[in-house]
Amino acid sequence: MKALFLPPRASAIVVILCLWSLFLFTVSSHAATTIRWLTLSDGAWPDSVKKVIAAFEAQNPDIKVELDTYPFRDLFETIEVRMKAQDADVDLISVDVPLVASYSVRGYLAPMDEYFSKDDIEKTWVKPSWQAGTYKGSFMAAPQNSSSQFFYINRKLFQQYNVTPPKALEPGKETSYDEIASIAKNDRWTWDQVVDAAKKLTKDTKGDGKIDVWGFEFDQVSRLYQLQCLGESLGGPLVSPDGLKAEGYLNSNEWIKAAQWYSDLFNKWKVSPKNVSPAESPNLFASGKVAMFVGGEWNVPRFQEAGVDFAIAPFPYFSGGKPVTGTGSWHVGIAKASSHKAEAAKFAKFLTEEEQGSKIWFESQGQLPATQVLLTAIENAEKYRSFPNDAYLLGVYEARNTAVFRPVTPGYLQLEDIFFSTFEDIRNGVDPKVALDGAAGRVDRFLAQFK
Amino acid sequence: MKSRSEALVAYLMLVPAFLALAIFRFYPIAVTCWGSLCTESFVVAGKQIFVGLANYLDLFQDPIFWKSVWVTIKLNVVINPLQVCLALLLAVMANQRFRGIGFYRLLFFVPIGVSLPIACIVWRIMLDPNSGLIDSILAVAKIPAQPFLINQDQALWCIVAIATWKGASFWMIFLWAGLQDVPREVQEAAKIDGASQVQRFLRITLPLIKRPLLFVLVTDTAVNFLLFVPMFLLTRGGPSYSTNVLMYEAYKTGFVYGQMGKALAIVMVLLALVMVAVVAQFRLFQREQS
Amino acid sequence: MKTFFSAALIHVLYLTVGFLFLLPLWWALASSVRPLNDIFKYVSPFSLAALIPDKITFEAYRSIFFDRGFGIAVFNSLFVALATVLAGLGVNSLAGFAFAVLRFPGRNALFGITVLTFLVPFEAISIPLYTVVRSLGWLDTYLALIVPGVANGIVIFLFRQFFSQVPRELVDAARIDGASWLTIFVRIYLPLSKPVIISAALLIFLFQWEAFLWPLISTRSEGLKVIQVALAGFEERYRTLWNELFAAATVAALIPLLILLPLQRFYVQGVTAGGFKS
Repeated sequence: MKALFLPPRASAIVVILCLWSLFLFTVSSHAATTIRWLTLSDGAWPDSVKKVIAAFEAQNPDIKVELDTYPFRDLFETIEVRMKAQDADVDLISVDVPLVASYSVRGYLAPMDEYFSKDDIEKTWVKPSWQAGTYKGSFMAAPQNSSSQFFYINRKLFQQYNVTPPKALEPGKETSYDEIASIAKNDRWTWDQVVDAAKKLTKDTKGDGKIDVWGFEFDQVSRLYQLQCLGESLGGPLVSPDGLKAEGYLNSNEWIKAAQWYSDLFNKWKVSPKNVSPAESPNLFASGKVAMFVGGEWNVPRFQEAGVDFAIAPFPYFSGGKPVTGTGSWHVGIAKASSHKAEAAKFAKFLTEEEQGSKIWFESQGQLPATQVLLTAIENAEKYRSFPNDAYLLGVYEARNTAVFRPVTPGYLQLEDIFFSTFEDIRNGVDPKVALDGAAGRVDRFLAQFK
Repeated sequence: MKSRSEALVAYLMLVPAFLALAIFRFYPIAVTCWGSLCTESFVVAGKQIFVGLANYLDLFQDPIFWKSVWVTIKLNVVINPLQVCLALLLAVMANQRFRGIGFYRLLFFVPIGVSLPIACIVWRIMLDPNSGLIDSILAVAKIPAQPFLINQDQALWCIVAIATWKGASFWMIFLWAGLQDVPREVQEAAKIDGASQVQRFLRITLPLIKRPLLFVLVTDTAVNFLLFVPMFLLTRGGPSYSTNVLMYEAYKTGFVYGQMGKALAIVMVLLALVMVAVVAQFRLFQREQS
Repeated sequence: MKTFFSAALIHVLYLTVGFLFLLPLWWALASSVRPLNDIFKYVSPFSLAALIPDKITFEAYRSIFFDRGFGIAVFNSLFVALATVLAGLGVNSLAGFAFAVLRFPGRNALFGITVLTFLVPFEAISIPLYTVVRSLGWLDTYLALIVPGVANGIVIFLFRQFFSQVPRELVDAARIDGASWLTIFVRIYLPLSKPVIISAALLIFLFQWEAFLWPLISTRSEGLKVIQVALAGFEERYRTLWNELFAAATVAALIPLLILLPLQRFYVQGVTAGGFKS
């Protein structure tokens, strides 16, 4: 009995705790819907996402958003397993934009037409972005952000070997959108110019027969995302417009020419290293071993951190052809088996379409946005006039003028996989025509099932 | 009566294992078999449509599939005897008695701790044709730099080397345990009889470790037929499909291309191959037994 | 003189083999204590600096344990592996005993089926297995990680091989004395089985320790992450945190080794009392 009577201070605490629990209980029993989002765990992505979620939940107290995060490569496998098992626990999934068709065809995504009106869609995002999120007329996945490709120059190496660099965005210079647009239009280097410079910048500095400084390198070597611009610059699409045929496209003359050029980089002119994987290749530029690097805009903070003295120029093109840059990034879609589609759509809208959500996302994560509003904001904002933030201005220009999306085809995964192994073979010396002919045949065998 | 109660006891002892196997192996395997006879519906996610042997027919007409069969057989005909022989050799080495053997044994055990993915990453860097360690050593012997993993004639054998690095060490343990059971008296007796070391080994020791040897051979064969991680991490089936073993082709078909039914059909073919190899090994040992 | 040379030769041989085995782990260890940008600096062209770091930093280790919760992954893997070993040793040894010693109809057929189960690769059954575990309500729990790994065809096979080597006379003598099968198993077979128990435990432990795909798809909570899944997390889309990856890999490699090494002595039996072939 004695134990029941606590000293006054303790009983006060107990009372407060009871009242607090009662309070929490009443608040939470206000039936909140929880939606789960299957997404990335890489780098700062979850933190940025959580900021958006916090803002969303503040406005929508009866919806809670929880995350299931996975590293990049594992995310795809997990999506396959969960979607195939019709996991009702997943409401939203992050869709890598080229997979929209594939996921739609296989019934992983629920159409979002009832949540996003056609007008809304066209007004909010740049055309290539929302088109890429559409399949057979239905809006399947909303663009979360986009991407762009830049041409990075190691200024120190250019100076050291007395080679004239291209006109570029440089540290210490203030610039404007119009100035950058002019550089992109008039002073863009051609691939021939790149090779010329590369030959002068590939050196065996130690004299031991091994090359220590390479003239040029791709970011995502042999990957479709990176190399699509080569053939497209010459005017050759990868597959037929309906996405169901590769013969005549993948092995067209334009692509054979592009592939030959690619092969020569490694085998004839030897200005680019073999056997460097996409994961390792930025490391080489970051450690000062490569003079010119083409790759995604996400490399900017990375190279800054590594202390490389670099400049950013517009992405090269084939002379006689047109400038083309890779683009597209992550979209978000509603899982077909979800039982909370309306709430999921609400969040998707907040994140991708509404100004508040998309702005938080952009400011935190820093990837090139897909919404027209944000692109215009970047164009006019003061902070993007100095290096390296002016890279965004270049990104805006490319997004509006040269961006080409990856081919829309339900067979994208196979196309990309075969493309990669084919171009790796080409890189290692296999004849381009032979390799591409074989590849086209294999892709078509796969695409046949969709007809 | 006696044999009936013996049978009963046996079944009881098997219940826990079989219950677990039934739920977590037999049932999924049955579903897998069934899955190989189906293909995916394009209307409802995950729904299966029975198509009979269509997946198999499709496979048999695919030249890439046949190339995978050939690569798989080529790999296994070499790697299984190689790993078992090396493991045996290492086990014998580990079984010697001299000062410092404990330290050496420690070193022999190291690959067990290193997971295969890490081993692959490190070996890949060492085999780099631009500036890897192995090529540097070859240069000392005036041998030109080899392309290794990016060359279609060499890649598969590089994978054999890497897998053997781990496999020989791992299986050595079991064979070494088996060697421990060979009583020293028997070996001593043979020594007195004047038999040479090799003769002693072949005539006396080897027959006495037949059971662990069969275990190692069968299990290693199964593991190698299903080998997948090095191809996944190092070569992605290339260059030019020269390392595209059936297991990798199945993984790609199922998890990358999303054609589960066809992937399962590839797995069934692979299983048939393994079964043939394993049954052959059992028979071989049984014959030698009698 | 001759013995000196042959002894030296032997040591050279052993050292070479040992070095080959040690090299990758050494490089991983060396890389884990150097700054990220230094790791690949000395590989091309290769120099001894690649193996012996000049700048040592434990930043990677600090980061993986304090920023990334790697300690939890280590605990989870250890817990799951050890639990599976305990349960697995019991379940599989019983089955192995039944197959090796007892006579009953269907023995060979059932054994054949058991062996066949481990021929089926996990990737092939991952999706149906996922649905089974989900309907049991075990998703995202330790049960999902432990139970499917308990019954293991290879381990049963291992026990069966070993037990069938035990001389039949021991069994017959015990049976005449009226011992039950269970007594025979516990009193006769188990005490003789130290090496095989270690081997079986090792197999089960490593199987769970190296498991990747199954933990990846059957659990999602941060608190249930296992080691190999955590290792994969260091490979992000745009870059790999090599130093942290190697630090985690070194930890992941040292733990099984530290467990295995003291258990070595159970293997070295020397002259077994009475031996098997009498």
